[in-house]
Amino acid sequence: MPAISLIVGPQHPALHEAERFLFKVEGETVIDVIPRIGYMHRGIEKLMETKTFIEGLYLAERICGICNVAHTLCFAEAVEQAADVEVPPRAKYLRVIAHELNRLHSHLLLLGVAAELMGFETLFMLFWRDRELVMSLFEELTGNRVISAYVRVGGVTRDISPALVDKMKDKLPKLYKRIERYKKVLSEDPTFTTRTMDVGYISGSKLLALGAVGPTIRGSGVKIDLRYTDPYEAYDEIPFKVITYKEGDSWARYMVRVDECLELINIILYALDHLPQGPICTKVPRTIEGKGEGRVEAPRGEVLHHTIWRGGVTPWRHRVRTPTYANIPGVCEMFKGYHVADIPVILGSIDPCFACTDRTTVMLLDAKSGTRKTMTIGEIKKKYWRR
Amino acid sequence: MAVESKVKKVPEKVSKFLEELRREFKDKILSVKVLTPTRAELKIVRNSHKQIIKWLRNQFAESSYLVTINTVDYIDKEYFELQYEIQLAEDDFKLHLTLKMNIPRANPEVETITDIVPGALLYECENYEMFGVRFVGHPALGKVFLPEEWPDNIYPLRKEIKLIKKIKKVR
Amino acid sequence: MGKKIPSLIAEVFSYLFKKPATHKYPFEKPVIAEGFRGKPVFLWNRCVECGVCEDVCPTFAIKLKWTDGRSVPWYDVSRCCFCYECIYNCPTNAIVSSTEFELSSAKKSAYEGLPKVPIAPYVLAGLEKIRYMKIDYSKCVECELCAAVCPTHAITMVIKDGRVIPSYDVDLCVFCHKCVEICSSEAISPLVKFPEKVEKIPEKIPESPLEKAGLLRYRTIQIDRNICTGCTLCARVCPTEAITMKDIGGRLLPIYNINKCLFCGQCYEACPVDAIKFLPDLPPPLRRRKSKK
Repeated sequence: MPAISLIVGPQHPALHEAERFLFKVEGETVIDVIPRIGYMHRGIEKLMETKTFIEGLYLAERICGICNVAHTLCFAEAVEQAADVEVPPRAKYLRVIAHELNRLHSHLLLLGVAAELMGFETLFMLFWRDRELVMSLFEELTGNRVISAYVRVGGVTRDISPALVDKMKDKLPKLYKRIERYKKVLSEDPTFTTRTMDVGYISGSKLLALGAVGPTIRGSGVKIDLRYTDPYEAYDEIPFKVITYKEGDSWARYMVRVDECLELINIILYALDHLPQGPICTKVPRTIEGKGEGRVEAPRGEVLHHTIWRGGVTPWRHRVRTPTYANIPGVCEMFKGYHVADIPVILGSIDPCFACTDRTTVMLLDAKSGTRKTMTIGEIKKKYWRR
Repeated sequence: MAVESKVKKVPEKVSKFLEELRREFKDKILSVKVLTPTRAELKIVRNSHKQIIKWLRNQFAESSYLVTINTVDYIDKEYFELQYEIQLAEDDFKLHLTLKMNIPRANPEVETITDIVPGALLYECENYEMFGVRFVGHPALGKVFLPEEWPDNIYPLRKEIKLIKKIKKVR
Repeated sequence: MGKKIPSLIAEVFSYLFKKPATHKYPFEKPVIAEGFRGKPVFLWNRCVECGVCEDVCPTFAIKLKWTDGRSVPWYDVSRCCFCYECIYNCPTNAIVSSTEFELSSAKKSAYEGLPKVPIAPYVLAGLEKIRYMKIDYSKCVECELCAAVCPTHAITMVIKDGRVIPSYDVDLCVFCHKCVEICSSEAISPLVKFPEKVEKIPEKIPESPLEKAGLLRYRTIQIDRNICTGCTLCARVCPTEAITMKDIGGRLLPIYNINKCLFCGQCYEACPVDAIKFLPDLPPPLRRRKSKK
């Protein structure tokens, strides 16, 4: 049977963002994938070289809206390392609380979207109603629902009030019980399990070679979590366990996120109990000389900000590596051998964020001979887009 | 060639591993620097990165991955600095290694590592596109990241390329 | 499936009697959280026209413009990203937060509006605007407090003529008066007139008041390398890493960096062979040059 090319995108295969996948299909089975990402390339790395760290912090926040705390935290970590500044302990714990609340809201968003992709709309409504609670707590802590502007270079912007601590201690255990119930639904309900179990299987060692990060690799049984492998902020003082699933299919990748939601509520409650006293911000010099490397476990995986300052008020080079960018080669391997109807489920299982990725690639994989070659968009148009 | 370190207490496993690495590649490693108990920096000779990464991947086959490849443009010193970042993550031994390698600005050519680490495909493409570093042996090196109309021989992240509009004069 | 129905019925009934999660917005005002970041409010009668808000604003929403005889910050809501960096940095609290969020408008001119500019606080007090800070070096006791409180790094400590003194950069100064308030010896005074000659440090520096009173501070550490055994004790006790050990010609010797030193005396006490001496003045190259008369 001859292969047919099927174009999905640039508008939303899974999440509502611009990217395009060209699938080569034999019958119902996908045999080859060509991703074309980077419709949102904004040149942030070059622009960062003209910004002071106060301006750069807010530019870094806009790399990705959903995991904004991870990006600001990572930027601040890198600049603090370069300037050799130690953050006060109270600020560290407050950063952990904001970071984990952000992760909770991101995971609940993805799980809701995943339920919607499978046509399970009741579960989508339930997840997003509980997400509203997290958003209102986040708004009271940071002052905004999504774009938080909470982390500053040298500390955090505002302190947590005792009333809010009580409110969190009251509300979060209730949310814990609800998520436990969702976990039961997700692991038993046939609407979910038949769509995800044994779909998009990939082994852990293959993912390691492809450089995948975050819940994607933890779903294949590899114990890599930056909070554990390279602890930052107060994570070396907080006890928690790294969630791994051995199955390696889409279901395992979703279940890693559900279990992480439960685990991070424990982290927040521990941090609220052990909040140290003291100042929340320190002074950072205006001109910096040195280099720093911030690495943070964002909801989707590892974020890396590498910054090099050679005196002056602006950085010499600022490098950003985002998790979805690292997961793209991995997800292209996952598609192969599964049906067209499984595409949204598999793509949804890596929690893609293409605004984060902000890169452009065209790759062509020849399935039969196994060679790779590059094509421009014009050549692809000529070859595949027959009008 | 001594192990420089800012850290007062280097964990025993890390120092043992670094010694082993230096014994294995005696003339390839120029200097070793321990930044924090979980991070270390190696300066290596040009074009020796492939052997070291291969050795590391064989040693830690189930617990190491390439984090990223990064280029820094030192226009005043006439070289690019290539940084390969590798995370080793075993249960009782965790280390983030940065391999630093200088290549001349006039002829930026290095060997590819895509045959050892297939995940490096996108990173090498990006560095070629943004800095013009040519990776010899890469299967699909070409214009991939920027728009198709982008002119040849203009690499946007190099220091000689300036932004058209200066955004704001810094005091 | 039959067993699950009772728990479902309880949930259905609990939601039958609850209010809907959504609300009819224009008729029903939503409950805004206490710390919500809304439109920042500018109080021009507190503003001292320093320009810090213009400098820190990451989206260039604030610009100082000359209006009615004052250069006051103009604020453009359409560019603002509500990061509140201006509020955290304002030295006189002239910008305050509010929870106002209904900011949409049909005309763009409505975003940039500026009400009638009130009279400046220094004019009301019968004063003129401060243009310069004068530092009286004959009063300065070198406590370094002014450099610590300065928000813009206009005051930094330098070593000159055997004294550790503040140097003042008028280009960076925002005239927030924090240094005037904190100076214990009243050495800093604001000037209304801009001086003819601007310099960061004067060429001739008067004698320190501490030296006059005979209260000389210990300011240098001398390490005798002939006695030193290379035991590294001094480098280990040093809190600021001013002493580091280095391998010189086969011997491990201490290297001393005066810029990091706190003169706490721990190395002096730790040295087992008394190779470290304290001297009551800066080292010879940094010492005051005797004028040849």
